[in-house]
This record gives sequence, C-alpha cells and structure tokens, in this order.
Amino acid sequence: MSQPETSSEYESLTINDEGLLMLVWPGGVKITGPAARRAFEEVNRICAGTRRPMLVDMATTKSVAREARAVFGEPCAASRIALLGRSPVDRVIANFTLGVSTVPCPTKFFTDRAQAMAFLREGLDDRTS
Amino acid sequence: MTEPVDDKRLEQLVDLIVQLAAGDLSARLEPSEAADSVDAVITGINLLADELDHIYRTLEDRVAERTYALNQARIELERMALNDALTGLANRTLLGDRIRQATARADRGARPPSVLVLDLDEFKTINDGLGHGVGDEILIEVGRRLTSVVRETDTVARLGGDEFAILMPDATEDDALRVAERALSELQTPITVGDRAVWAGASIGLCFGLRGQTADNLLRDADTAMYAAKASGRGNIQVFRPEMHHAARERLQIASELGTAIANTQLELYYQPIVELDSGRIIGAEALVRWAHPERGLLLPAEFIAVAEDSGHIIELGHWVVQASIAQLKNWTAEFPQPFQLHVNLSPVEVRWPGVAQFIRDTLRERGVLPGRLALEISETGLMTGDVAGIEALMELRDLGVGIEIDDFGTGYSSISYLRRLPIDTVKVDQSLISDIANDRQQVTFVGAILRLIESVGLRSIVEGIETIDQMDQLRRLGCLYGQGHFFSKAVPAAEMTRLLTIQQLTSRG
Repeated sequence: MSQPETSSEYESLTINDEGLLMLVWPGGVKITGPAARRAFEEVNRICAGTRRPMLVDMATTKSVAREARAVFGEPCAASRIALLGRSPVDRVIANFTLGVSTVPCPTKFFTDRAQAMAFLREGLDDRTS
Repeated sequence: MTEPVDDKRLEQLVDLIVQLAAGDLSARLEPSEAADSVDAVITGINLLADELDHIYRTLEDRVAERTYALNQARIELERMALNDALTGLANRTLLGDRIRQATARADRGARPPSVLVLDLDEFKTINDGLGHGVGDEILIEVGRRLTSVVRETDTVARLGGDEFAILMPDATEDDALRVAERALSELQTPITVGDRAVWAGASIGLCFGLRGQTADNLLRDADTAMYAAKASGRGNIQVFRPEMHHAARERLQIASELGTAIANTQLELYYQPIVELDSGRIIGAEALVRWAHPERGLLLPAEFIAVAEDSGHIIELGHWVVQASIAQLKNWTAEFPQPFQLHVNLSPVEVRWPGVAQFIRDTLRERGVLPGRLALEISETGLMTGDVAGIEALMELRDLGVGIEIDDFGTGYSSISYLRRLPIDTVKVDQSLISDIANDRQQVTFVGAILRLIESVGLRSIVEGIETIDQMDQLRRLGCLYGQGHFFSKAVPAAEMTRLLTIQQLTSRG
C-alpha cells in the first residue's frame, strides 16, 4: 500500500490585523530542513527589518527533522513565538524543539489558541523597527 | 484517555526499541494518524533516536579527526626524529639506519655501500662574518646541490654543523667517485645569498665499504678520509686508506700539544726571500712558521695550520706570528736601510677576528715599524667567502699603509674582476701555474695573459715556486718583476736571512 504523499512546506504566512505573524503548517506535515529554511527566510522577508511575535500553528505535525529544529534555533524576525498544537504528538515535538535547540526568543507551547494569542500580545511592545 | 493494551503499535514500539538497542540508530516508526499518546511516545523515541544518531555520528567524526591528527603528529615526530630540521635531509640516525640496511643487503650479495663525508671549508668564517641567517641559507643550498648530484637510491644526510654525508648503496667505486667529484664541483660555484656571492668550498672523504663492515666503522672511516682531505689543503677528495687512522690520531695529538707549543715558544719563524727578477735583489721575505717539536722535529705549516684552525688555536698562533715577525722586521729595518717588506700569512679565521686591524696597528706602533714594511698574505679562497667584516678590516690596514696580498692565486676560482673589488695591491701567483712554463708553450701564453691581466687592473704580481733558471728566464721574458722559490733560496732561519741581507748590502756598496 503506497503512502499518501505528505507535504513538507508551510501552508501560509501572514501578518494579522494586530501585527502578529501567523505561520501555519498543514496537518500531517513532515518538516524538513530546507522547508524550515524557506519558512524562516519568508518570515524575515515579510517583516522587512521589524520584529514581531509569531504564532506557529503546528497542529498534527507528523515530524520535524533535526536540521529543521536547528533552523528554528537561529535568530529571526520573530520577537516571541507561540507554538500551537493539539495532540500529545504536537506536545512532544514542540518540547523537543524547545529542549534540544536553544531558542533565540521567548517560545512556549500551547494547546489553547486564546492563551497562545494572549502570550503573543504581551510581546507586541517588544517590537522594534 | 486509556489506550487499548493490545494496540499493535505497542508491539511495533517494542521492536523499535529493540532495534535501537541493537545499535541500528536509523530505525524509526511512523506515528499513526491518531496522534495520541502512543504516537507521542513513538515520536519522542524517533526524536531521541535522531539525537542519538547525530551524537554518534559527531563522535565518530571527531574520533576520525583526532585519529588523523594523531597519525599526522606521529608522522611529523618520526620525520623530526629522522630528518634535519633546517635542510630536510636525513639526520645521523636515519643515515645510520640506511647504512645498516645497505650493509645487510651487501651481506646477501649486493655490492657494499660507499659513504661520503663532506665538510664545508669556510663555513665558520661565513657564519661568524655574515651571520647565522646567511649560514643557514648556505647549508640549505648545499643540501639542495648535494641532492642534485646523487642517484635516486642514495641518501643525503646532514650530520650536524657544516658536515654532510652521502650513502651510496650497491655502488661501484666509479659510481661513488663520480658522485664525489660532482659534489665537489657543485660546491665550487659560489652560492648567492641576497646580493652576495659566497664561496663555501668543501673537503670530501670517501670510503668504499667492505663486506661485513659495520655502519659505524664505515662512517668513521669516511670521516677520517674527510679530515685527511682537510689536512691536504682542503677543497679535494680523499679516499680512505687504513693509514689515515694514524694521521687522524696524529692530528688529535697535534691539537692537544699546540697550546703548549705556543706558550713554550716551540714555534720559530723561517724566511723565504722575495727577489726582484731583473736585479736578483732581495726586496722582501715571506715569514713561514715552523714548529720545533721536541719529539717529531721541525714541523712544516701544512702539518699543523689546518689543525690549529679546526681546534681554535689559530688566533693565538697568528698573534705569535705577527708579533714575532714585526719584532724581527724591527731588527732588520734598523740594520738594513734598503727597501724591504716582510710578508706575513693571515688565515681567513684571523681576518675574521674582530680585533685584527687594531692588533696589527698596535704591534707596529709598539715596535716603531712603518706599516708599509709589512704585507699581509690572505689565501684566495679565504677572501672569496664574501665576508664583509673581514674585507673592512683589510681596508683599514691598507689605508694604514700595510700591503695586502692575495695568496695562491690560481688555486681558487676568483676572477680578475673580483680581485679589483678587493682591497689588495699584490697578487701572488701560485706555483702550480708555472710548473711547466719552461717547456709548455701554452702555459707560457696562459701565464703571460694572467700577468698582463693582473697588471692591467693596477696590481703587482709575485710568482711563487720558481725552482729553475729556465722558469725564471721565461717569467722575466713575460715581464714578471718579482718572484720567490727554491731557485733563489728555500725558507731559512732568521740568522741565515740576516746573513743574506748583509751580503746584499755589502755587494751593493761594493
């Protein structure tokens, strides 16, 4: 039985009305090093020199490659990061990312979107241009 | 949420852990779509396996790197232990190993190896005069030149200081002699260091190995032959003969007795007249040192000067010669008013000695002798080392009025144009150039050309070693003005020289 093809690319990256970065990974994604790098570069590009809090919706992510976790450890335009997941798998992946890499900005894992947004809003004052 | 105990994923998880525990760090388990706690454990184990795999690989890479670095360090240590750091040539240890290998091969039927030992003739003068930096460059270049003359199977080594050796395994005597001759010839070309041409020169000892001879003996015999080459005038090749050991012991003995000889006035000066060829008048004399050895009798300079140079007695010996010569000159100057110049030999080591000009000036002043009465003879090879300090000392003495002469011209490799740059006024033409002058037309032409060239650059020539009337006549015809040699007189003690000068004075009055 052939495996359905899984995506490794992010689904969307936007800046919402509040000025927060919203990065969404598709369900079942296997995040590779190059895919993480592309997302990272796009974050930097759309921030154009500013720093913003960022919500990373990683619900139902299948796996994050070691190389991808290394990219998440590099400083980028995000001033703080809320990792939003749902399942125990998300929690393991998120905490692995937090524990193994030295994250460059305050980063926390949430299963509740509202709490995640509240954490990010606290960081709106951190923005610098 | 409680997971069913019979979940197949748990069995797969156990398998995964077993695989990982067995060392297969590439093993992974795909979590299910359920994304539940079991999948979380699977994901966690996958991630831990990733980390473990990464750490293992990093460790393996580091171990490989460290192993490589250790190996390189070991190779470098071996190289340092077996090679000379300055020239990169083999050192004494490696040479010894190679000689042992070659002698072992000879025991199994190959030809025994030959060993050549080479010592630079003027290295100490170069090193003292031009500095260790130049000395090092000379050694590197000598190593390069020696390497260029050997066969692929030969080993060139630096034994230490300015001593080199070449091992020629499985070599015929002709092969070994050819290498020795090429080595000598290579080192006769001056070495250029910066804008200076320096002539190092070399004495070579060669030993043809015998089957069954040990490595140490082979090297020792080549070394003995090298000392024989030094003793027989330097710049030549000597093949080892057993009787050379006796000569080597003699040299050691001489070196140990020389200090006593100088202190106890066992030295004596003899004088060989220098004559104006047209008139036969004695116009000067060359002072030649003799050693009245209590057991061996009267020793000639050839028997102890090289030893004095090698053993460091030469400065002391040179001082004695200068002081005794000038004291004698003072007596003759008072007794005989006619022009008379005393010629005193100065070794390259003395020329290099920093106080040489002052010492000679002070000695002349103390004795009240005019500087123009004294001439200093320096060998051609001694002046060719490019030694600036030595040349400056000679210029100082020349400016004072002391005559400066190049001795043994024709035995080294200096050109007339080089002579022009030296602070000299007289060239002593070596006797080897006139040996056949009475019979050989070509030699007549050659010597005539040399005399004219010397004259053309404003220098005076004195021809040494005139032994027959035919030689003297021929030289007179060529326009040579001055000469010395057994035809006129051998070197004689001071009293005899005084007698010759007295006769001359009486004759000229008469």
